Amino acid sequence: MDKISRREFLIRGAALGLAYGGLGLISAPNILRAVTEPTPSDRLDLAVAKGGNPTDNTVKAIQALGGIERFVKKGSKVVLKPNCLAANPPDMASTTNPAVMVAVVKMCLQAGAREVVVTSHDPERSFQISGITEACSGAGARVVVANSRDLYQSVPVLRGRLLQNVEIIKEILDADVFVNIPIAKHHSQTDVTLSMKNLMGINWNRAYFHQNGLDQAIADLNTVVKPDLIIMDANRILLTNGPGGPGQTRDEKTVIAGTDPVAIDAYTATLFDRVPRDIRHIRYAYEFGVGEMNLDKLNIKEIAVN
Amino acid sequence: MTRDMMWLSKGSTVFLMLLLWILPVRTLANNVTMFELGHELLEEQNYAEALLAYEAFVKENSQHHLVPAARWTMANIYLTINEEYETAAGLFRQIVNENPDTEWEIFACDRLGYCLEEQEKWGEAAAVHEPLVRELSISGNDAVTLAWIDGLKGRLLSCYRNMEDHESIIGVYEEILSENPAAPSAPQDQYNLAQTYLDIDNSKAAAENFVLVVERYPVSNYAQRVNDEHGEMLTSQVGYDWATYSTFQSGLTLGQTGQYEEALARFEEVIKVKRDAGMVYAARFQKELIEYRKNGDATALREKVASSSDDYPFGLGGVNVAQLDNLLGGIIEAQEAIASNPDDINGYIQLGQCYYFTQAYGRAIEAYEKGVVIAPDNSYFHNMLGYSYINLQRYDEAISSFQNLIDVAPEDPNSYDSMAEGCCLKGDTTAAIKFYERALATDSSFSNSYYMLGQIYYERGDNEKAIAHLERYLEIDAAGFRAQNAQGLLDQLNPPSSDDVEP
Repeated sequence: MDKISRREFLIRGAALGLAYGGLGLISAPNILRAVTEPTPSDRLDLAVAKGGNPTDNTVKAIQALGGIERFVKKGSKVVLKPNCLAANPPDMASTTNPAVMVAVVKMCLQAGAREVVVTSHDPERSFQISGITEACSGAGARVVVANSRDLYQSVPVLRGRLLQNVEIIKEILDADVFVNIPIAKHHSQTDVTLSMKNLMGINWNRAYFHQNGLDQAIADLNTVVKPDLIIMDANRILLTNGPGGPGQTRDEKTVIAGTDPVAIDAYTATLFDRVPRDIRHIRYAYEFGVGEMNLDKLNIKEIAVN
Repeated sequence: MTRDMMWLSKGSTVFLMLLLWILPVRTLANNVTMFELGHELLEEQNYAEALLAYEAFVKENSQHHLVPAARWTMANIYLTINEEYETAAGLFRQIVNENPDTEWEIFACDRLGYCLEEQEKWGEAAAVHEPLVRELSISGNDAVTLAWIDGLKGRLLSCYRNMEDHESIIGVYEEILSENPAAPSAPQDQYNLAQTYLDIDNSKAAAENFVLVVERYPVSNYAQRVNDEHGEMLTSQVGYDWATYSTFQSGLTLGQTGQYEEALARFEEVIKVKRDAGMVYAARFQKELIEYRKNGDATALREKVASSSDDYPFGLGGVNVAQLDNLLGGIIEAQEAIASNPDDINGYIQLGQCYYFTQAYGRAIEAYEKGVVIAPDNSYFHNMLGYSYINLQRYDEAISSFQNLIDVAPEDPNSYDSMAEGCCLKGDTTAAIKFYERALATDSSFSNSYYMLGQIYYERGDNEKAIAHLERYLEIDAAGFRAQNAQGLLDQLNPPSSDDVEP
């Protein structure tokens, strides 16, 4: 996806300064070149690793996207957001598989991350029963159960239709790299809960979302916080009685990685035999330019993992 | 004029010209570039340049699907950052006009109303709100909840109040209710209409409309509110006899606790007494519901719910139709899954759950018991069996199920928490305390047990222990669904001292 980066904007800003100073020349062709020279990994929207165990699928999907080093630089602080909504063991597919979390924690640390934090606004018990606390701590991450309001900071929502501000976990606002690691599940209210819905767990006041319009609030939240990387755990998906389960599950043996939350969710929705446009928060987020929901416009690479 | 906007007035022309000069080349590369640049500038809180970027995007991509989003963000900057309400209103109005019958129209109307309210243009704001309130109240929209619509109604009401125009408020509610008295928001609208009459001291009209809340929507919370808050007024103003409502409520309770024949008799009595009044329809539906609880036939009830507009002019008396339909659909789905695989544990879980939430507890017990046969160590089945028995007020069987739960899941604090609830409802609070404490010994962060202990100690008058447990609950689960209640109890136990009260 070619977009103007912060650095390129500074170049343009300097050129504008010259122009405003009266010299009247800016180097438009250079700016254009900067904009239109995507790296190979930029061209890939989604990497879908299929067939292996959760660890191998995760590693292969990230590698296909350009490797974790594309996102995590030496000395950076990385925050990971799993789904640990329910106090259920991982085989019930209502929480992110700890093996996926461990794979990401290890890759981040190997890439030179200064610190890896795992956080979510979920009960401490869910962190424990899901195996996420033990697995992530063991792999070298710091686990923060974000159950206290002083861990949050209010942020305005200028692009949202329903929300005017949200309170976000400070650790995420302070992070150099934010990685969203949801699990793909059925949801009784939003039909499915994927990457965009998973961000509900970085915000304090969930009740407001439910009371006023859940799908729109989810889309609004995603205009404020855009993860640097999304890793969708679809190794085993929850088909019914979501989000807490227990319900029917299916082994998909799949991990999907990408940077566009709408694209990831649109693709994952098809695993549930849903049309992306029919999932309201996917459509709303698309309407706000959060990402692309038309799968035929995406460059998707599928990788068979043995 | 804010500092940002001063910058805008000086430098905007040059900046915009430059943006537009390079834009055609950029557009060839990617026509959302300016849109994304706007977002980056927004993140940097450089609102003036963000406005220019969005404006440039709109100018060059007038047919793009992101144009409403760009205009929306610009309007929001003018509204919330620059406080330039006229400009914001113009942009929101443009979004409304260009996106009819979409969510954009709904939300842009809402914000346009804000802009006008900020300028105290009450009449104009009301003119924006009124059609939206009317449309959403009658047909609803998946993007917003009833609570959101109610908030909008509140603002419309506030506009009319500022204009001292109560007739318009009454007119809106009457129109909504005559258009669709079976709408999900109808009980609330009927209540608000009555309340409006009360506000203008027309107590007779208020009483007549409160009566309609009770008669048409006796299952809703609003009927209970009328009974609690205005019961005497209805009797004195219009001679309302509450006896039949009491019979109806008694039928509801009996129907929920498995005493079906007694419940049916109560609803028959309501039908006989009320003849053509609204409560007759609600009583007829309750009879259908009880038949369903007896025979478990979700398909038959679902068909009746689907045809409810013909048979039940006021909806189902306050029952949430969408929720009921969803649960009945869940039962049919689970039955199909079990038919194709009789050992489908998840099928029995879903079947039991859907029966449970339609208060068909006997049917839920049957489903959970079949689940126990297939998976005797599954704690979910034992827990839900216990709660199903609790709802039928069969506490000894509930406690027996919870004992089974403890046997299969001794490490789970929820096992003891459930047992404690069973003991509590049976009236043995001493045993309940013991089990809640055992839950906390198993997991010191199990918030529900703190809340329940706080409540038990509160009721026993042991304020010190009540405060300690409720405070601990709030420490752990400040955003939990019991937080408001916990805080309410604490406020009662810790009333503000005179030093805390402002003069």
